[in-house]
Amino acid sequence: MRTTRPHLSADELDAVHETALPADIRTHLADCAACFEMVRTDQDLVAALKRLPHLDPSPGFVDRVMARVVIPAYGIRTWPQRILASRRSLATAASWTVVIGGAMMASVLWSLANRDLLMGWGDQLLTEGTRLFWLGFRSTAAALTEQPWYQELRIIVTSPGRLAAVLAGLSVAFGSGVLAFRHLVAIPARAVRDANW
Amino acid sequence: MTPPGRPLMDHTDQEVVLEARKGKERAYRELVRRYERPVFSLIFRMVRNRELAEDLSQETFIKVLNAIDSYRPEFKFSSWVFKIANNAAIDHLRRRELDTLSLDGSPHAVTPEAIEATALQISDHQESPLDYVQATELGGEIEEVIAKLRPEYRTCILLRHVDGRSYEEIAEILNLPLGTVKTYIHRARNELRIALEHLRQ
Ligand SMILES: [Zn+2]
Repeated sequence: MRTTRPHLSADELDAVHETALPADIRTHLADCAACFEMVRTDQDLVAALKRLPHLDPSPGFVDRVMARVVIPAYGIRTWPQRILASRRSLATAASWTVVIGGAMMASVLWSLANRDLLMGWGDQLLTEGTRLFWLGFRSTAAALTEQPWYQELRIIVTSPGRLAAVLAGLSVAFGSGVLAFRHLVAIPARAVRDANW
Repeated sequence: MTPPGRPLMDHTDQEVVLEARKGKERAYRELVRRYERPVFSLIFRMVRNRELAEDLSQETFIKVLNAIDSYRPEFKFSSWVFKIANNAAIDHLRRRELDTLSLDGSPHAVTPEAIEATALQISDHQESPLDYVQATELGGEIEEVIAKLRPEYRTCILLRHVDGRSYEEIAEILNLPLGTVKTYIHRARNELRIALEHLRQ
């Protein structure tokens, strides 16, 4: 009796090497000489490929590789372990601790001993800062009111209809600016192939 | 963390990599010991020259070990090693392809004797496919027909049926879609079957 199923597909031929065959394939193979022959030669081929030996590089290969490999001295992950790794790293860490800690301690002590002087400096800075801020503000305002377009601006701002039109225009400009910026800084959707090696 | 008290050779690749990252030379050596044969075999069967295969294998391990800190554990370690090995072999084959003109004799050679001399000079570097192994007749023939496959088919068939790597791992190694890997392997097996047909008669 001939089977009605078609000849084996590539995937089914593949499955012959992997798993137990489903009943319909077994029946087909019993009936179809062409598929049977293909499976047999394919199985022979795969078996022969599996028998191909692994080849050895010449003796001393590992040593030749190791001679050209740099093993980092800090092959340790966390920073406390790195500090404890050698006497030298420990000494370096201790020196930095002394220098930074000493400087901090000295500045705290000096501040405590010279509180009045520090307060004086603070007051002076505050007064000067405020004075400079108002001076800047006043000169900017004066420069603005002297501009030729200042009167036109005043008219626009004092008429609600014109103000609304200007605000709408500005909003549109701002919105399109934001969209354009988003487009510019977007992350590419496709990952970059082989970026790592 | 690696379980203490177990010899290094019983550890998984990932565990040995962790030890190597702590700066342990023993772990570096263990990684080379594990992969020297499969890597050398793959590269040799790709480039078919022992000396060159040694150089490219060394280059592969030096690259791997010097970059052990940048190894990403979401990949299988073996995939990473084979990827670098295959890239080394393919790069070499591409460079050699560029030199193909001179392979058939120097373009500057004018007399037939000169053409023969320059061609021979180059083929002297090639090792006979049968030199390195006292193989069975079929084994030797297979080596020869594998050498005639397209390089991408060759890598696929070697990784799949000689090394026993899964389709998924081969796809990862070669940066190819799974379907493409399957197609390459089917086509490679078809070509091998046809090329070896005469042995069955
Ligand atoms: Zn059939």
